[in-house]
Amino acid sequence: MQTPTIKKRTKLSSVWIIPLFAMLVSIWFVTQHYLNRGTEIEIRFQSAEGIEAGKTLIKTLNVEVGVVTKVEINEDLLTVRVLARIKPEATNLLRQDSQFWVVKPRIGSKGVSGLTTLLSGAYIELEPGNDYPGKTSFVGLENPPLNRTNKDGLNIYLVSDASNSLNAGDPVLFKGFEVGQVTQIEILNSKKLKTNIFIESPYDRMVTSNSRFYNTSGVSFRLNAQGIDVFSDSIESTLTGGISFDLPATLSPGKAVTDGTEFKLYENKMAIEAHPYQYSVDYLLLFERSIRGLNIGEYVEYRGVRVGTVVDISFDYLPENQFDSANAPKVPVLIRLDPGRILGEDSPAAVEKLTKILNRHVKNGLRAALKTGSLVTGQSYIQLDFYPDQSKSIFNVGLYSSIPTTHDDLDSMLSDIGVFADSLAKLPLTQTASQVNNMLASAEQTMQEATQLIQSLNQFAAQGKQLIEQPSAQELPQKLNTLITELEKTLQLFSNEKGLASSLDITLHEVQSTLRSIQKVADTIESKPDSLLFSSPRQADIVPGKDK
Amino acid sequence: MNFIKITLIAIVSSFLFACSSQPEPSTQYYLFPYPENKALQQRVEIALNLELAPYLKTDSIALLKEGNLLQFAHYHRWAQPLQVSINESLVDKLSNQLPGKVVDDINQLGGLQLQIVRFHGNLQGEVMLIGAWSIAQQKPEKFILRMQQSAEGYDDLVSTMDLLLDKLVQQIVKQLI
Repeated sequence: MQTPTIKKRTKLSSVWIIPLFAMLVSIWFVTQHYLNRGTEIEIRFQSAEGIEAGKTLIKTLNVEVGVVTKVEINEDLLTVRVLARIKPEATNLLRQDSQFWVVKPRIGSKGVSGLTTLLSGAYIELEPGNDYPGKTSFVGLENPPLNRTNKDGLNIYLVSDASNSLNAGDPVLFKGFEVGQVTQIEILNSKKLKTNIFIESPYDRMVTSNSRFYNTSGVSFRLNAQGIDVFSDSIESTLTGGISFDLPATLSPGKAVTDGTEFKLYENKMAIEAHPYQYSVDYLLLFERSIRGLNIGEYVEYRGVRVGTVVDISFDYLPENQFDSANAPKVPVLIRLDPGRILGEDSPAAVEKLTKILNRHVKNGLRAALKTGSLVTGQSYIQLDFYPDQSKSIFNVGLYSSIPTTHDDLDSMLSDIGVFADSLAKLPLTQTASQVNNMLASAEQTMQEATQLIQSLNQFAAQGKQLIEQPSAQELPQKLNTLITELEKTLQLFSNEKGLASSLDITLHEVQSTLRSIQKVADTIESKPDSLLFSSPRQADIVPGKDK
Repeated sequence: MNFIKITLIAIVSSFLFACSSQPEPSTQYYLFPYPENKALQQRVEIALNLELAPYLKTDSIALLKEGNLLQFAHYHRWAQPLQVSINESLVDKLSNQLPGKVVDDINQLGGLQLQIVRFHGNLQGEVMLIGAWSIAQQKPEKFILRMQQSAEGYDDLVSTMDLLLDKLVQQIVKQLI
């Protein structure tokens, strides 16, 4: 009997390789799935309008980078939480400053956008920022951001007194071309507004330290001593609002500016031309006469050259109680002198320099006077000039220094008389006197010639007398009389009613009658050409008194 | 057969008769009756400046048919221009009826100015004469005269028109004497 040899087989059966392999493959699949699932992110929105779990895509530059997996309401019951998975290869886009917003059809003053989503459905746009990656929780934007982080350009702040109907998204224009837009408007306090604008590259190079920004909404008019000015920009900005920047006519481009530079936003283009300089000195002028015809914005001139502007006219500038207490209160006019215009230098140092120079000149007789610029419109302006007979110096009124004023009406009259006297003195009197002498000499000669002429006329008259006394000349009147009588007889023949005139009249009448008959014949032939050959039966005339 | 012949002859003859035309009435010419002057040699002739409406300057006699419709007769015409006829008739009548001194005075003032604006008859037998007369620069005296024809026809119309001229002369004489 054979005893079976039992061998213990310690090795596993090779059959197990198959399930093992299957398990490994499964593990590899699962791992692969998890690895490919991507990063889960959370975005908060005000509402989930147009977003659907499993359908709404997340796109960057129109490339699909993820999909929404879940939409739920937050615990605060005011916002929604959108959970989405971003593809592994796109996780790099999830940066600290990445932005999300829903792209859907929008209609606004800037036009229509997102029309393609009408058919495809809304999607979430992911705009990667520039910061480091690794963020998974975001707050979504309600509207597309105005300044794209992937665009080069310049962010600038403008400070203004009033908003002047500006809105985020309004265009920023340079020479009429849109170069950027308003990104945000903040209220700093009850009087100041801060407007953020973004200027796209390469136009950001146009902005320099001397650039002036102004509001281009609407159309503005101004009537001044120089006439009427009308300002308006492009139709779009006139209707919807906008900001323009430009260099004032008197300034050259300044230094380049950096991101975040603050500028003043002027009310309109006239305002930047009126005060194109950053630094200026304000003086208060006190007038003793009526300043009717002087407007804010009017020019201040020194002997015809513009040196500044009238900034304000108000009794507020007088120290307290000055209006009540003074005997005849003066009218305060605030003027702004620009060192840039006078000294060609726009800096704080130039301001000090101008103050010193004006102090010196006022001591030497520099005065401010009100002058009429246009007799038609009655507009006035302020003229600075020297009046040497007065000696005063700059004094302070309230917060401002004051340049002494003077009456100019008499003065202008005196200067006119002076000019007249000058031109009188320039008259060539000596030359005129010699010319008069010459004239007198020639007049004497003419007189002599006239005497000769009279003598020859006398001779002529004597000869005429002889001629008349001749018998043939004596007969002349009688012959003329005969001729006239003959003529009268002939004329009578014509005027006699039964004579030539009468028969002429009858002939004329007959000619007229014949012409009328010819016209009748012509009319008949025209209406009935065959009437020449075939006479049409004519009805008998109606009989007078037939119906009696 | 006999009936057909008669019918054919009747049709052919009716065609032939249709082609024949009626004899046209001849044109009649009219003139105002010549005044019978008793003392033609002694009288002074008045100077008359007559102005006729343009429609009266045609040869045909004008007749108001109905409303504003005026018809000029084709077969009844004036023998001479109405201007001449009226002038002749009025000068005779006025010179006869006005004293010689008055005529002299009128002639020295430039004669009598007479304007006739309407002078025609109508189907009802009424003849009208409308116009104005004046001496020198005085205010014109207007006149509107009407008269009924005694019988129908153009001959009686011309007689009635002459009677109307008589009536006008009487009116003028009455005003001047």
